[in-house]
Amino acid sequence: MTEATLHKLKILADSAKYDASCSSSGVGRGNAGGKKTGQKAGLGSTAAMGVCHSFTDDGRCVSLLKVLHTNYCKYDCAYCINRVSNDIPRAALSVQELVDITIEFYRRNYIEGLFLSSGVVGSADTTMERMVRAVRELRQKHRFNGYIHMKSIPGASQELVHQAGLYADRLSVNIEIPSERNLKMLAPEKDHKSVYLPMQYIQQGMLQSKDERKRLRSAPRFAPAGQSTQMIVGASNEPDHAILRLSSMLYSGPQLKRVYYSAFVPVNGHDARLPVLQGAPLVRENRLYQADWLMRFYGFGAEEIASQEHPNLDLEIDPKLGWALRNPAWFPLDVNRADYFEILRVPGIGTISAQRIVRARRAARLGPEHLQKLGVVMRRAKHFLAFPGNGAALVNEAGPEAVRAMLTTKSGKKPVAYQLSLFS
Amino acid sequence: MVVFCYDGTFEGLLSCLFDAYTMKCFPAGLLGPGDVPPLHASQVHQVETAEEKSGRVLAGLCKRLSASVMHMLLLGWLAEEPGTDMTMFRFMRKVFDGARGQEHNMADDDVLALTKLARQVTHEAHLMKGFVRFQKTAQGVYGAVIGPRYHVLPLIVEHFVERFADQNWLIYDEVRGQGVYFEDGRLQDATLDAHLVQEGGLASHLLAEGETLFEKAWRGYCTATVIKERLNPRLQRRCMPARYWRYMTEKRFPKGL
Repeated sequence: MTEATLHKLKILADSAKYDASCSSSGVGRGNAGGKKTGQKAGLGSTAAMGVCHSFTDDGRCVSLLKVLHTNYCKYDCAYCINRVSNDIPRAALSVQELVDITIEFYRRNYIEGLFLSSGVVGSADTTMERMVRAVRELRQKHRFNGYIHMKSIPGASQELVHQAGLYADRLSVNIEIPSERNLKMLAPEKDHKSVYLPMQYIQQGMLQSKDERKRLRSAPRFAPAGQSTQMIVGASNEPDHAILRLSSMLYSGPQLKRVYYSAFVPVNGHDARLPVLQGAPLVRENRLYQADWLMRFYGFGAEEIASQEHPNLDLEIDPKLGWALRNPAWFPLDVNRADYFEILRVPGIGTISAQRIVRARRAARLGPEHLQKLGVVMRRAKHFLAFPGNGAALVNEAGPEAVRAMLTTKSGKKPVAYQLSLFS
Repeated sequence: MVVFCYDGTFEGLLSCLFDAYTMKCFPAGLLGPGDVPPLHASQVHQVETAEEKSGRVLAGLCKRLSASVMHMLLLGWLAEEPGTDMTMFRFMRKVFDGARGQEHNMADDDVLALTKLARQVTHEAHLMKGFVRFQKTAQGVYGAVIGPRYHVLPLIVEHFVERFADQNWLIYDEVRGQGVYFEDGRLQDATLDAHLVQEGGLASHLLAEGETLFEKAWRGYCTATVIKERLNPRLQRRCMPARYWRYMTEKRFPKGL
């Protein structure tokens, strides 16, 4: 490592940081070698649940070394910091430099693996090929078993995507802008076809490998941690319900593992095609993630969370509370009788407390005092639960507006105490 | 009021349980070595740790509890929190005396306390898998100093044995003065002398040439990935508590850097 490489690393990390994805989960792999295979041990392993190695000052996790191979790019996408018309320092890492940095960082336990993306230089295939070469060298020459997340460049050929899938744990293609019309406007050189085609290639590869591994245990795995994508929130005018419907389609259709939402940060100065924002729409991003969780772990459908009538998520209350207030007839619920997925629909009860409730009620009848201890947020949940002596205003009796008012007024703020003046 | 005095080991705790059942007398408190008996203790019973006692209790527990609950007991013990021994004592009594499935009764205070504690210990062990920072020494050994709240070293060793099977490494728990050293596929206990540890890392004279450049690169990387518009130090501290920063390359700035 030299000072020059260090400088390049800084530039390329800076250019890669707007990609929200960081997870290193979804695949558990031991270290090839050791006693069983009789081989010399390689380097590294992956943990199925993923490991975060650090958190930056903006609170985002650092799990993978997230860098671009190069930040030179021929495209001119309005939302992107690396667009060709921007005057920013440019750099490119050689395959050797990239491999060295990854290995050295990994050996010091700074990172869980590599997240490799790139600006597009030459054709999509040229860029993709260079990335595949780096990843292949890590896997084959250095027998690196750590996590590798690779971006598939929009427009890359099936052959190269296939090769990438053999070395990488997770592949991703970013949709960036949820509707094609807006994508065309903001990124004239891109269209949704160039995004969905590689997505299809990846899915085909995964299905094929799954099928082959049923017959032959040693058949190679293809992108074992699946694929993910990212959408920028707030750079274009799609309402939340369109975004969520798209996510839900991506989860069920190409079976994506994750959809990431990235609050739009205006990085390029004024552009008439982009909205002028007070700040990054962080709350909206947060609400979208909450809605995403509801779809993936709570059994909610996209239409239940946001629909034509309620196109956008309520920024003041979380999406589950929003749903509960729109469906007062569902409540009150008796936690001692309701099934797991019904309990999950109560605001203030998450997956962990719902699991605890289901386990604990086998041994004893649960009252409010138990729920509090099990981790239920009673401030919210009490309006939706039936138990004897519940003095709280129930949503089906007091009405959603009253409950909403109670939950949105900030009661925690104490008046500021100050010394009384003797002479006033 | 009866209190039991034991040697502070896990086997000792199991022996306490054995003695209590044979004497049909259950203590109101447990005293570790060096603890002063409370003034109102009418009787202090000295428990002798013996393998035939602890072995029988352990076998009884194994018969009644699933592997995951047994693991929870281990996690609770590794927390090394004052008072946990008594919680575990009561928990084990409930397992022996109560109806089947008592270990899942989250409405019970002891079960809940132990479950929560075990969760915290697992959580810290998981954090540690990411937060350990190795520094390469001139001899080529990768050394790390940690200072966890709970005794999580035994829980994370396996992870590192697998991950760094082809390098020699050492992890030293500065708080407990214990460490492990992995060399050529073999694991052994190790300690570090105080003068070799410096401000949450290895002493600078031990480090390999060029090591500071890697540290600088990592710090540079961590700074470069920050999005200024999203600064959120509270979130950062919640995810990565500041008590670990002393040991982490990107957050520690030892003198002379």
